[in-house]
Amino acid sequence: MTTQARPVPTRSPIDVAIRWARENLFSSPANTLLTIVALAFVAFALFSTGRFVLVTAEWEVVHTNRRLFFIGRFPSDELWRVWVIIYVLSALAGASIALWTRISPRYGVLLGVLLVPVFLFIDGGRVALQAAGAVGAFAIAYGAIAAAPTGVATGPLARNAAAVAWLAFLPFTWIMLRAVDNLLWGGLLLTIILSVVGISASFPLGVLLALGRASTFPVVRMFCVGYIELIRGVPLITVLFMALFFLPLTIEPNREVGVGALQLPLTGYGWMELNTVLRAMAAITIFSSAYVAETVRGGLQAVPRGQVEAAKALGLGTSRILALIVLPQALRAVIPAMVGQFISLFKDTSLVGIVGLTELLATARQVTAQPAFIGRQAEVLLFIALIYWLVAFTMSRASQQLERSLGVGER
Amino acid sequence: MALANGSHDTMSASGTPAASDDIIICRDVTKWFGDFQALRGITASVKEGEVVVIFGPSGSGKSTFIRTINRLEEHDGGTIIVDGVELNNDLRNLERVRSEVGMVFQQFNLFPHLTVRRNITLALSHVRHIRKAEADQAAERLLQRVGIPEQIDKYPGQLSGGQQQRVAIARALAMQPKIMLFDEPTSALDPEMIKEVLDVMRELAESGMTMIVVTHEMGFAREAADRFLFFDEGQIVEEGTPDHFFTNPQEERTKAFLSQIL
Repeated sequence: MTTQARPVPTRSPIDVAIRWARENLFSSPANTLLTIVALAFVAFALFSTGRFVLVTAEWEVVHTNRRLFFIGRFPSDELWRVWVIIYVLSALAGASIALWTRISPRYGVLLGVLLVPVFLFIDGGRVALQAAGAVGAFAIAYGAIAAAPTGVATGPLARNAAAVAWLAFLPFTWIMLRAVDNLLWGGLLLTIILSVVGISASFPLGVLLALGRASTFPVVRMFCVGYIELIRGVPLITVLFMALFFLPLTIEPNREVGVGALQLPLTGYGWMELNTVLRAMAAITIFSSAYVAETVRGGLQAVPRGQVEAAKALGLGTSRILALIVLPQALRAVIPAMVGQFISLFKDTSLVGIVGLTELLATARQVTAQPAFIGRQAEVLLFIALIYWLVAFTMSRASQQLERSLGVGER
Repeated sequence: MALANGSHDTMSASGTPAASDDIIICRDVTKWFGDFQALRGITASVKEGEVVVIFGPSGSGKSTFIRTINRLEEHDGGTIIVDGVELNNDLRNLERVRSEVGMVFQQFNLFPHLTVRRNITLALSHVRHIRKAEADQAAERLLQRVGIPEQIDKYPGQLSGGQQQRVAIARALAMQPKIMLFDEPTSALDPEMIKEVLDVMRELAESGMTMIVVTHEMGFAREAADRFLFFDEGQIVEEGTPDHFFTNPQEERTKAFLSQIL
């Protein structure tokens, strides 16, 4: 036995690449033809997109209307409210990541720092400064927890406090934004508000519906099955219209509901517009919870019966078995499907434009109707597509991180 | 293993129901699954400290029977009395019985999302309401007893089958049960892991635990059991001491089955 390693013939990366191409792209005449056609197509697509983005496009329409895209007609005097919310959210996120997960904060900070020059480019120094502040809040909260003595970070006190803070966050946001007329909420701000409310309301509701569907009480089960099947059989746009017609939460006496309500955002007064936003939130929640319920049901069915039997044999009661054994396993198993559902909810908020709210897509339509920017649809649509994609992609990455930190598929 | 045979000489030839030291009393227990009758009138009793081994062909109702004892299956007819408590729809009775009867399953059924420590302490915290520090101590002590103290902070998926089953035994023992039920505890294990689980069960039997074991490990059964029950088609076909079964089985079905598994 010789211990001397035989010299491995070194091959340059170029050799490897050529060889790979020969084997995979040019292995036969038909393959070669296919490769050339595909390459030509890709080159053409890249070239024309690049030429449009860099040469043909007139990005002035985006730059001029940047405020509309992000916050709609939200008054600048009240803009601090949004920033306070972003600051609190950043700090909460930083603290929670340090408390509960093994996710590295690198990516969050990196993303934030990368976005700062983008803001600088879009809107001068002020927004960039605020954004930098938000990144700072995230980093400080994370650092504070990470640097604290281990007893604090892992103890129940800090975690309970953070959980309470999260529960209080939505009401807090509502109180902060309530001062501003709903009519003025718009753009990405409205899109995100609708999504966050829709997600945070439809998740618990969907879990309850899924449990109800598995219930042994026939009345509960039939109600849940009926609800889920009814809602799943109807398009979201129908639910949105129905919410406007059939969910008049507070109706001013003598005011006509119905077709008139559809025009409310254009003609009505403050509190009535609140209704329109609230109703849109209700419609999105009603719709999404049926889908969440079916996703969760899949997770519930994936938990083996032996798990429940083992828990019963230990003397645990039904509610404890659900909370400690079944739901943690069921929800973990459906994180990918659930996040998919939430990403489509986020994109589906674009439908509320039809009932008169000016979220991101509706803003885009308004902008392209401006006399100064006739014919600039392509620029505007490309821009909002980029925004939608950025948010959706971030959600998808966050879900992957969450799966990894919970060890889905490993245990 | 010289110890094993001598330790349980108090053999009851046949379970006479309603005797005062019987901890489990079953009278004419029946169970239906739809049109199929899984139990056709089981009458048996187990004394405190007794080790009873149940065996028989698959589908003979042995698993169903021991699952009725902690009411994982509800029986349709007859009476089951466990430690003086009759099993019926009264939930308080059910809780009392379940916390006194430990069960070990063929598929282990450990909770995969919890560490070994949490698996063992879960019921102590949420059923017995014992403080965390004490529960942790109990977990450490029990893992020591089943021989894997070093695995306490791992997840079940990181353990071998034999280790998982030993954790499952520790989890059941944590509730300090008076009775332990074993439902084919070694059937899902690779051959080299069967011994480590049987060793733990043997030690448990020697410590005086009342045990009902469904198993086809006849070597273990012969050493550790006080009494055998042979099940077929939902009935107890034959009952007696291990020696009786190994030397002088009476029924044809018993002989046929024993000749297959020995």
